[in-house]
Amino acid sequence: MKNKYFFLFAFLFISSLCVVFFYNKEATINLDGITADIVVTAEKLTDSFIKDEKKANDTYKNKVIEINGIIKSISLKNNRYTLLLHGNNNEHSVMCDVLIDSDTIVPNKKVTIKGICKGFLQDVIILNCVLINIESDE
Amino acid sequence: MNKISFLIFLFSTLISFSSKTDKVIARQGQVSFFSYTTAENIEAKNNQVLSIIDFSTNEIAISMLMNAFVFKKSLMYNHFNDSYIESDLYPKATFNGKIIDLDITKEGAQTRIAKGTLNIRNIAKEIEIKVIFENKKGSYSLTGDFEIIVKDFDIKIPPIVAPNIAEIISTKFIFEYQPYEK
Repeated sequence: MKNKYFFLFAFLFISSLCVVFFYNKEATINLDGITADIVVTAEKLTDSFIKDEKKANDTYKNKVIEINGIIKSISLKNNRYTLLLHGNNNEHSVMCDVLIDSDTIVPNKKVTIKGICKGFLQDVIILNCVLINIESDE
Repeated sequence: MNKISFLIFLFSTLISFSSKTDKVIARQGQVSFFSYTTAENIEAKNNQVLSIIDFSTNEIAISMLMNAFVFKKSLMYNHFNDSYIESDLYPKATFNGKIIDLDITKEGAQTRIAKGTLNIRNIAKEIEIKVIFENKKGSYSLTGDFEIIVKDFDIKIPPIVAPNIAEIISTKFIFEYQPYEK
């Protein structure tokens, strides 16, 4: 009888811990070490969304994608760095919300970035980005 | 030779004027919302909100991806996207309207009313928002806040979590505009 109460108590205790853990789990996503689902260039990515947004959403949305592109601009706004990568025209770009040291990255350099595609407004929106590679100065 | 140089100058000036419009664009606008209840406070921010103002008509358009809101806790993000907003079915929220009596030549801040249609989950509501438009030596910004009534947009909250979610959601926005050049 004592054993029965012990297991019941243990079960309830562990269940409560699980609920508290999952409820309080931080929303921070770190893509280091996660393999990208798709590898694509910034030009091709913007082109896909401009030509057929629905089809592009089916292909890229909510997936981890690796993007190769050329930096158009870098800005610090709302305490976050944002990289714009050249798209297939001047009007549309790839917008990457990224945690980086701003000194290491300047416009017109080739970069490889990994992030989660959220969809398309004026630009393709990529969140939780990490920098994989940047063209060296040499 | 001078004639040719003049023609080249004239041509390039015309191209430069024709490529500029009366529009300004904010690609990295911020929209945040807050739900205050005695049980829990919930806050989320979206830093990739798009807004365009056409100064020739004072029309304003705002568009945001609902799955780009960032929450403190992952469970909040999942509930918001999967159960309440259903962002797979309704990926964007938009506002299309006009800023009434806007004078862009006036330096400094001016309080105006933006009147238009807010569309969330394919449900359109006519709203009026008090906004502050600021012209700081040719740099334009727009800030404001308003309230959203959850039931207006047919957002179904399960009874078990209803005490944790406010019936009225406070919403704030900040946009900093740049010239829109094609």
